[in-house]
Amino acid sequence: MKKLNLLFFVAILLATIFSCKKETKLRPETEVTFNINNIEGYDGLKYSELVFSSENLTTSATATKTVDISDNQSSIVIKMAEGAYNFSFEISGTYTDNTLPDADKNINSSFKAYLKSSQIVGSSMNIDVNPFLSVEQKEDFVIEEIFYVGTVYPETNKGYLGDTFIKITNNSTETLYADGLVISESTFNSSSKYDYTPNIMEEASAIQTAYRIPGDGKTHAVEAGKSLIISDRAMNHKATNKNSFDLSKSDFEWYDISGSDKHKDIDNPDVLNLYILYSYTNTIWTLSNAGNRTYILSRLDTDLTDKEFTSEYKYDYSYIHPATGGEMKRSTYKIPNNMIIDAVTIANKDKWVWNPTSSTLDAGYTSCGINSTDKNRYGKSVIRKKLITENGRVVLKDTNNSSLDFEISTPKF
Amino acid sequence: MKKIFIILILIITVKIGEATPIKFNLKGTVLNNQNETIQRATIEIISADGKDNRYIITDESGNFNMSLIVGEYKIIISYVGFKTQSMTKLLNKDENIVIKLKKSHLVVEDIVVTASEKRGLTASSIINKKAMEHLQPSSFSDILELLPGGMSSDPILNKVNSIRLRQAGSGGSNYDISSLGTAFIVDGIPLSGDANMQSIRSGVQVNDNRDITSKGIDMRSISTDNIESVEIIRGIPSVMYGDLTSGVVKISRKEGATKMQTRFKADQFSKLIYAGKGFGVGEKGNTNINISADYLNSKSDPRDSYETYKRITTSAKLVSKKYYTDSRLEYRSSLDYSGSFDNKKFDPDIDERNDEFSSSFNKMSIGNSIKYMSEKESILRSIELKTSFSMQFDKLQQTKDIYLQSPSTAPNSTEEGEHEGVFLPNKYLSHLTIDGKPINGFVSLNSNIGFDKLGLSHRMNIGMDYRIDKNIGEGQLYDATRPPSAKMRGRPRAYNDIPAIQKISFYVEDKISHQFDKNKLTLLAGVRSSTMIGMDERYNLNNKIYLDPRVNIQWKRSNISIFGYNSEISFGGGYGVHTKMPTLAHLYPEKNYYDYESLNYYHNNSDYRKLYLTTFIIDPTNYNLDAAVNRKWEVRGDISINGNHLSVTYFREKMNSGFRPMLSYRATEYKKYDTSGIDHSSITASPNPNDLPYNSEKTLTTYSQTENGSSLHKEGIEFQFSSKRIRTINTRVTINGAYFKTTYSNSGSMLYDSNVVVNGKKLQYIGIYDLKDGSIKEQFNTNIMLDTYISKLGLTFSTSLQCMFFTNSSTLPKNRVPYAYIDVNGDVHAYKDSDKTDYELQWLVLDENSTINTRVPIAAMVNFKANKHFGENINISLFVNKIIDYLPDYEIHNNTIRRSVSPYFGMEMNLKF
Repeated sequence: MKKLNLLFFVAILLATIFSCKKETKLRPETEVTFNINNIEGYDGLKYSELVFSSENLTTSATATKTVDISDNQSSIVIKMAEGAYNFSFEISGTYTDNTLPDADKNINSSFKAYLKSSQIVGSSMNIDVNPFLSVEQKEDFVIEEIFYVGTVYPETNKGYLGDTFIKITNNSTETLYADGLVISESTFNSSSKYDYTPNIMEEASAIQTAYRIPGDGKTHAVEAGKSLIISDRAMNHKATNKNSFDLSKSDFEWYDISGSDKHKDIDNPDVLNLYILYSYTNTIWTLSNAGNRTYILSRLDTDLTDKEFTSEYKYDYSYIHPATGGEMKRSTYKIPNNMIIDAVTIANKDKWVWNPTSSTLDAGYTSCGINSTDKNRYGKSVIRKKLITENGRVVLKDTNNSSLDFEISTPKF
Repeated sequence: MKKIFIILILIITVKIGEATPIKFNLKGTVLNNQNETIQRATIEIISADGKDNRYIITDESGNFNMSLIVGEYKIIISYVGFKTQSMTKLLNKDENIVIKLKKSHLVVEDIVVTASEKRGLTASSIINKKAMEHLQPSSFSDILELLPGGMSSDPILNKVNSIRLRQAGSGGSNYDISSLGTAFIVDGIPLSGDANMQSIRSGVQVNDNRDITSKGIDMRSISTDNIESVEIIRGIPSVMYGDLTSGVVKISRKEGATKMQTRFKADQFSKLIYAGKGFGVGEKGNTNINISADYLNSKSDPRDSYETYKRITTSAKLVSKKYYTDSRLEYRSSLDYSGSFDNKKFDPDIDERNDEFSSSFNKMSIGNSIKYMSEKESILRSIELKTSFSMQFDKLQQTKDIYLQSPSTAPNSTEEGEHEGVFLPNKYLSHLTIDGKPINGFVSLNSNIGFDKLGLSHRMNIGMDYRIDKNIGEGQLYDATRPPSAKMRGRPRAYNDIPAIQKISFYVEDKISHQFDKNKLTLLAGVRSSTMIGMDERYNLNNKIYLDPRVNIQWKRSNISIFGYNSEISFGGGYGVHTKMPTLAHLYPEKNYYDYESLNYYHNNSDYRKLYLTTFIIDPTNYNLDAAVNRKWEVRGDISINGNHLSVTYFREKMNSGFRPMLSYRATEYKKYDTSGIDHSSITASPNPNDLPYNSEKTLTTYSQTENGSSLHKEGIEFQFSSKRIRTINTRVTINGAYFKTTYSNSGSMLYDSNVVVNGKKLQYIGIYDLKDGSIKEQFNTNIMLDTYISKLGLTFSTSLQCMFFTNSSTLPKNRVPYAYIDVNGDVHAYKDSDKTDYELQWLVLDENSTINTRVPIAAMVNFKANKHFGENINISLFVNKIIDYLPDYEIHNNTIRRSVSPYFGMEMNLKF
């Protein structure tokens, strides 16, 4: 009986294999039309050449094809056998950045698009392709979300500010340690620009806070794609303000042991506190409610001691006050740009004058309101867009241009 | 001091008894054709032989009285705007005459519709009823535009109006001594604001503009309608006036019988109604009662009915005079009420529908004076006793919906030490009442002595005064667990347990004059002592005697001929020291409470939460506080040619002891409990601090303390020219103006603590700096006024061109690096060069807000005013300020500044019944 069963099984198996082979050969080809969509937010976008690659998930057979799409045709037609495929598109082209001077306006760039596990069936198919600006994605933490504007009390216009938070996410393929990550707010704001001397923008960024995640380097592991919520006050804000939310399960909170007794913070014993390397205020640090600062995530060199940082990285600068002509002298700290992992500039369209950090860190800006007086901005976050999902891991879009990488959303934590 | 005084009194008393030749009294009353008394009418009496020629001026009730030896006299009675009358009288008994003057439409020379410079010993401006009528003021503040350096400005009645004499700009609240040090004296009785405490350290933003605590007198609360004349002494006042540093505002109110007078004024911001009448009671004009009332209702913006200011003033004044042979007795009694009401409501459509603010002052005062005046050539010319008592009922009330922006703790303990803390609810309604009842008492005794010796005429004033100020209010009333502001750390406080402040002063002065030919040399020299008494022994001020010597000297040459005209020249100068004692709020400040966190355990389960606070109470009383002392000197020149007058004064004032809050510190230490050993997930009750390990946290607690830290230096030139009325066009030209340079600064070292947190810790250092934090301000202005009086039409109109040629403000350069610093233990160390790179101490180097020079060029505007009499009883006036303006654009560091103003206008009607 057992032998018979085995024979039967082998027969079926062979039949299957042979029948498959036969069918593949017999199956007709599908004419697939890929519609290459425009990318929103890029002026004067022009594609020139497209390199198409496909990978048949069954046969592992790959194919590439180069197509000239400079005549602005928005689609390409490729014939292929039915089946499951991964497609990738690499497009070269140009776009215009109107914030730059005329000579540098036209930017040559490459764009990418990926389609994973697409099923190709039938005699013809139309598939939309949404390319994105291709920048080498750093395999590191990114700032995924900033909730800076707070909420309002129900049925009023009175603001509640205790519930701000920042979400950072491991946007790499490996587990990373959050120990030693420093969260900073830029000293300069995006709505007023002065001629700060010395100008160190291309080497370092001026910061007014440096709050660090504690740990010995191997304490706070964050798996690929996973996030940390770092809140001002880790508590259930819903108990105070119905329009707010529960942040009591935050991973970290920044607790200001206020030097002034007038301001009181709360300290949740279940939630670890950030270490204050530097703060411009001895009261409490709240994220810029006006929305005009850059938030910077950095990892200071491991051989740099706190004393060294606080004594050697002070940045003394001056500027001429435009209204009075007087020379203003100020001091703050700076973080070298090469230690900065991510920077996100918050600015309102009607108030934006400049980015207070180098454009290599962030070429754009984002905001949770249409403008600075938008009443709908309360209770909204700026959230990084999702690029693709890779092996169950959401890859966040990080092109170092917040204008393109972020969108407005309700807080997600 | 006291002994000298007593001896002097004795000498005088003895001298009174000396015999004098037989004399009779000539008494009289001067009336207009409506039977209203005329004060300040001139009575000239010439004896038959022409040897005795003297003048006397009618008093507030239109009366005069002099004793003359038997004989025939020619009496000439004259008053501005009336026909001069003369009569001859044989005096062989006491005479009582009534003179009725007729209006003259020809003599208009001396109608003055602006301030006139008193050609006396010191810089002083006189503003009479006529000038006020023409100016059409809403409150006393408006009158100040008539002073040299003054300019017209729209009334701002939703804020405190404080006086700043001889000053360019304002230096902010650190220089409140300017207004605090200006004495307001109404009918000889000083107004006191020293016990006003309608303020709270934080929590009432709306009150900031209306807070008069330690700022002196709020001029918007003074009505102008009952005022007969005002004298503003900008220079060095007589030692009779004390408890001041800047100057004296002397207000004389109406006296004597009048018709019922009413006034109705309306302008963009306010409406004003006034009615007043003087009644003659009893014997012919010897006793008069004046009563008056006025009401002002104003809005800060005519479109905003939520913010209002109202003022009600009523007064009743009795003046009674008794005439005796060779002397008279004057008795005055007044009863006054004034109320001031600030209200602010909020738009009911928005979130502040429950919010409300009101602040009211209700003041009642009684003043009495009795004055004996000798009418013969005796040594004791007069002796006067004045008393006054006032009580004020002040109430500030605020209701406010508080929405916390983030969690905050309640200030729940009134004792020092550790205690359990509570969090404030996130939303609550707060109520605050500040109940203040300042009471002020004043007693003064002054004697005037006159005698001639060695060709020198002496007029002496010897006297004393005593003042008491106390506040018997219930104080700051609120629920400490529902404070008016979440950031507020104060605690409710009663005012009635604050001791009274008492000041006693003695003074003596002599005015010595010598006449030779056409020259007259006058010297006024005096000294005033001021002492605060009855204070706690710890106060440096207690029983400390401050001596204010003041000297004025003048040389005058009259009846000289310049360009063929009868002219007069005088030169003079003076030096004086002026002392102002601190106020109740300066001496008895609110205590500071500090609530440090010893344990902040905000567990996710609200049952396990624990907040433990350590409270420190710091009493910021400065027992070393001194009085503010201002030293002034000035030189003056007056020239008068054929009725055209020019006065020029150069002055300097130096004060280094103005009151201001300064940073002070105390090294404190408290326990900080460590909860890291607790397993937060398995606890079943909130942690007990007694079971927890702790660290001792040292911290420097800073607070502000009133010190004599402000320096205010004033310098400038004041000038006033007034022409004779040009006959053909009936027009007088008045030009006045001033150049002021004011230096606002601090007089000692400054302490600053840094706000930064470095390496997990608030910087526990305070830097000590040798720096000047103030600025130098300058201004130069001139007002040219042409006033025309057309008697046939009963029309007066004036055009004034007010021109601020420039204002300039430059901040003083600062030394940013401290010379020493204080560490967490309170120890002082020198600040070395190497400290500039220390990771903590480098933060003591201050930010630089560089020396900034702001120069604003010319601003000119034209104001137009007119009034017309319809017969005797109706007078209609109107004014338009800024009818024409010239405000050119100017540049500050490549920025073009554009300026604009809008006209301010109004009109009023005066009716007499």
